Amino acid sequence: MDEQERTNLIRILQETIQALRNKDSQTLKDLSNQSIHDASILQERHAITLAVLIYALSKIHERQESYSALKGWKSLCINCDTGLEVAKHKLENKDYNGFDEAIKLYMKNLGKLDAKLRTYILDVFQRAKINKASRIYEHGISIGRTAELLNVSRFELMDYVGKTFISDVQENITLSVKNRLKIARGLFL
Amino acid sequence: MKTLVFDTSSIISLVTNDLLHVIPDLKQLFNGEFCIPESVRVELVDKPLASKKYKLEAMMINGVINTGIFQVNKSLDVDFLLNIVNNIYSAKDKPIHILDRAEIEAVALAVKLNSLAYVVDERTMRLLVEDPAKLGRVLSKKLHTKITMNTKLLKLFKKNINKVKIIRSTELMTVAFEKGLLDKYIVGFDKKEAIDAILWGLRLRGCAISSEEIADIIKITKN
Repeated sequence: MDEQERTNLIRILQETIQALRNKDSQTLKDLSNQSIHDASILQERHAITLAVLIYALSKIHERQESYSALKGWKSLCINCDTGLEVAKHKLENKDYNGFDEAIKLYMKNLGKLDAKLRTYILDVFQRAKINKASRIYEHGISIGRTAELLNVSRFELMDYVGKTFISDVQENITLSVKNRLKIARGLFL
Repeated sequence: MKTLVFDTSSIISLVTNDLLHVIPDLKQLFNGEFCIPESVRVELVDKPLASKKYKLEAMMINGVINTGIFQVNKSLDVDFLLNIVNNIYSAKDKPIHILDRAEIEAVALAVKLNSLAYVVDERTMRLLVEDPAKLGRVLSKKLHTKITMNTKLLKLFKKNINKVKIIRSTELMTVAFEKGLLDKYIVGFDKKEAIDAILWGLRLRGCAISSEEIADIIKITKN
């Protein structure tokens, strides 16, 4: 990770922590969008992890009215704040293994939540992963490469992107339908 | 021997729409070989077999491979081509890695076998082969940054892939439909409705085809 990337990730983490404290899910979403552009270019593991994590947090905080009534919500918020502070601190010290460990521990702590809240939160994280994968694909990276980067199944990613409007983008059309069908028909004469 | 090479994405679209059973009849009409590289087999069978979600699809594909409908070709050394492709586009002085090994192996196999066509539902590979400038525009527009295209590497890529012709599962199934191989879907339905259902099924499960293109195919489908 070069210096510019590291500084950028630290800034994003700092702004995420602040947005979480302000319960500002829109800023979280904007930060996730910012990080996904970088993740598509750099394809750097830490940037991708962060993009998914921030998006999931924005979704969780959007639904905090329903989730906050569930057992374990308060400790989730505390763990969130502490976990991200630790991760930021590790990045500031260029301790990349420590950053990985902090994120791993953060995810492990989610597994300790009360059953009902845990199910919701883990589902949000899984959806966040596939949503961010579809964004990277939308940015021009192939299905295979995107699936590899996010560690999602190609089957799942295709199923997800198929239900979006990504294929309707005019730039995606190359050969005319008539000509492509002509090629196909020519194969089975 | 005539060949048709399939990549991972086109077979995923077919299996998730329960259309794999059309492939043996199509192969017979084609009178040649349907091929995939080993890396594509790994993506379609070995990896999903390890999960619960797409295990059944993996088993179905494995069945088709075991009956010899798809010929699995040994892995090719594509390091050189992979390196070219993933250094064509750059942003902020950094090369953008756009394709993975299995995708490159499939196109390399199509070139090696001098295949009549390469079946790919995935958009990035199709754009790179048919209109690399458009792919550059997609990257630039979506990443909100200037994209530099290395024309020297692009020329080298083009030289390596010759003139590979690309079709998608949608064109393949349209031909199958025209040849009557999908007649069992039409019982009690209007033919236009049936082709609409088939094409939208493929699109909704990941084939990169626009709504406009689907409407155009329906208009010119012979039935």
